[in-house]
Amino acid sequence: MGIESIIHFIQDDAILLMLLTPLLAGIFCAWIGTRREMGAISVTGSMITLLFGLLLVDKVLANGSASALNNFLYADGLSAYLVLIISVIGLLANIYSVSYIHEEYAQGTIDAGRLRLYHFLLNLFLFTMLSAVVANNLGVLWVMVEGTTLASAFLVGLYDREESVEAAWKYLILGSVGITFALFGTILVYFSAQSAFQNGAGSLNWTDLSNPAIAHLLDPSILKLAFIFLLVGYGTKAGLAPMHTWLPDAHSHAPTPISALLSGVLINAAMYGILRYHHLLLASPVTAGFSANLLLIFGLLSIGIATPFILVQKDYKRLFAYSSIKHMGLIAVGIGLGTPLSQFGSLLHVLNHALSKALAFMGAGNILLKYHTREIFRVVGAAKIMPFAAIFFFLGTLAISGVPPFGTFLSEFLILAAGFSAGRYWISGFVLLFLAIAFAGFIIHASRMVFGSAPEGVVPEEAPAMRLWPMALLVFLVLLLGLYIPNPLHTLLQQAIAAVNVP
Amino acid sequence: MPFCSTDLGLTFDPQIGERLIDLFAAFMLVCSLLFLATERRRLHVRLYAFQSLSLAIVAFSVAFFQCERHIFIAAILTLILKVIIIPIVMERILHRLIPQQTVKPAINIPASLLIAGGLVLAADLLTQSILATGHQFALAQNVLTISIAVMLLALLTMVTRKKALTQVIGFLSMENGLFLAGITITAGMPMIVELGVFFDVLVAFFIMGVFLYRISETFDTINLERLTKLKH
Repeated sequence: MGIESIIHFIQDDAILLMLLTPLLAGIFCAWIGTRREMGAISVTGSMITLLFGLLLVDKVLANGSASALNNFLYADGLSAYLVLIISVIGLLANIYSVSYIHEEYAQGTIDAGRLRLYHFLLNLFLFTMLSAVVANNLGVLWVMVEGTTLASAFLVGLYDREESVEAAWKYLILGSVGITFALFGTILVYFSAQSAFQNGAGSLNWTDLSNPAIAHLLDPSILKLAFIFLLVGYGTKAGLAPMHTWLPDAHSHAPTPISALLSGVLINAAMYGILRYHHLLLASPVTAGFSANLLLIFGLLSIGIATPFILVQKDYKRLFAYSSIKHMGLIAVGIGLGTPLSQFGSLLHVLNHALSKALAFMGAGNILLKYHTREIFRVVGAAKIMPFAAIFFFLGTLAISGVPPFGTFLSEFLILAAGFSAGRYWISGFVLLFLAIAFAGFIIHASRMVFGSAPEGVVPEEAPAMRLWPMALLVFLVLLLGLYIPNPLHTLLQQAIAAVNVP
Repeated sequence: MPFCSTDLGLTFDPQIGERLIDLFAAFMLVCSLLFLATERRRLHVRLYAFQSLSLAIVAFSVAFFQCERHIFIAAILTLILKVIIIPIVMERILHRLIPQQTVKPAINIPASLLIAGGLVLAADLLTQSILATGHQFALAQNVLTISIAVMLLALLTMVTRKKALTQVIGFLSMENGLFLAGITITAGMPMIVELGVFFDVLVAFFIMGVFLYRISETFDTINLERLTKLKH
């Protein structure tokens, strides 16, 4: 058997293997790993996951889709694109967290039991997110999105502080209640599917529902009603205003590697759910404008609500959390505008935002471990204390505020350009204004933290390599995406847009 | 499973099944209203158990009279998990947690019952708008109205009561309403989804239970009034 046929053999089951790896890694961490081994197991696990993820992407690029277990798992361009994002950020966050969480252990912030729980749940969290985006059945998608809340609730409340427990409680309750609405929406879609299928049996499989012949038969007014519930439900998890109130708490009080995953990846997985249903509504001319307009409204509201909080923020992890709300709003607006260019920009922004937000949170984590405070005003002169970590942090802040030549600038520019060229001047002008305001806020906050003279009592010491290399790689990636989009990524994006749009 | 009406060779007046379902669905709504009308936590747990029992009976009736066999599994799971296990665990938690002083609800009882009436009307309007599409449900439309109303009332309970335990019960009751909608309008979801939902709700309940302990340890209370550390 040659190497080619081995690759083909693995590739056929890439989806399944990709899901099993983090699950196994989590179980190994929980039962047999010693303190030192747990980190190694997690990192190795997420490396293998990324490898299978890349094989899956390769297969989707070649065939347009991939499936496993009798079509129970199914991946098209959009799924593969999210798998790529989840597994890349998952790996980097894992590498970073080995150093981060062990330093917290050494400092006595958490005990050995919590350390084990952390590694177990981190892998489980990755598993639930990956399963959500490759589930063919929309009901299973719901089960897995609720699973992400359950897997990450203890991660958010890892520390025994009052704020952490409160943040985790809010996250758990609002996340679960919000998602209950999404299940009601799913039931309504299933209801309309039952009358659309010839035999009346109905189906929630994406491969059945997205078939144009079926999608046309779904009842428009029930779909509209369902979409409202789904948007509120998945929108809660995606951090769209006004359902965003849990997000700044959870994202800022979680351990920093988890913040990076929550803000960089999880909210995108929730947005994925919305995009799937948006596609169903686009299939019929009666409902097409309805979902697009709702996305625009919620998107603009998110941008409008998050930006003032960015300006007045006193806590730098909260600052990045509010920025996530703003960016999700922007992504929703781009999808809602509905031109091919704006959708391309939006989907590209999903990747850019994930990379730069992970970068920003990793930078915030380095500062937090050194200064032991989350208050912006008590952090000064980070560049004198740990030059590389501070520079990467500053670059991360520039990246999330959309400065050229970072990738975020390109994708924001594409969305705005698409808006203006489609004649949506008010919407684009509003977005442009608020992006500019948020930009100013970020630069003021970040330069205050990074530059200036070093304070007394903080020992100058560079962050360890395990916490610098993932950041260096992220800086490289987000810069690269601003200058040049590799061909395979471009093809994958085109396939993902095809999955959002109806030809 | 040779359990349903036609297997046994019995013929019923179709109205009997529907009336039974309507009756027990109405009991569920009454439970939701009583949640709002009382402040006693032990009573809340009992009400939840009774609401779940009514749900289980509705599920059995649908399975039996409409011959939707796979709903038997859901009905049995409801009976075991929601009528027996969850209420027992909740009683335990109540015993172990330190006794609490009563907290005033954000909105007083008469006012919240008034709002509840409005929400039931809203649920009915929503149902009418779904019915206006000309679709026929497997069951009478009253049940859909009730299921939406149960969800909305549970949400109202969660919003107006500042007790952690009441919020957990609110969430569980909301899920009951959702489940009623599932069996009424679509005669259940695909099996794998239904089992997944059960699993999620159970895990969510246990995680919430653990957090109840952690809140009471960290804050010396499980009244959420004290949870005000987080601002903007």
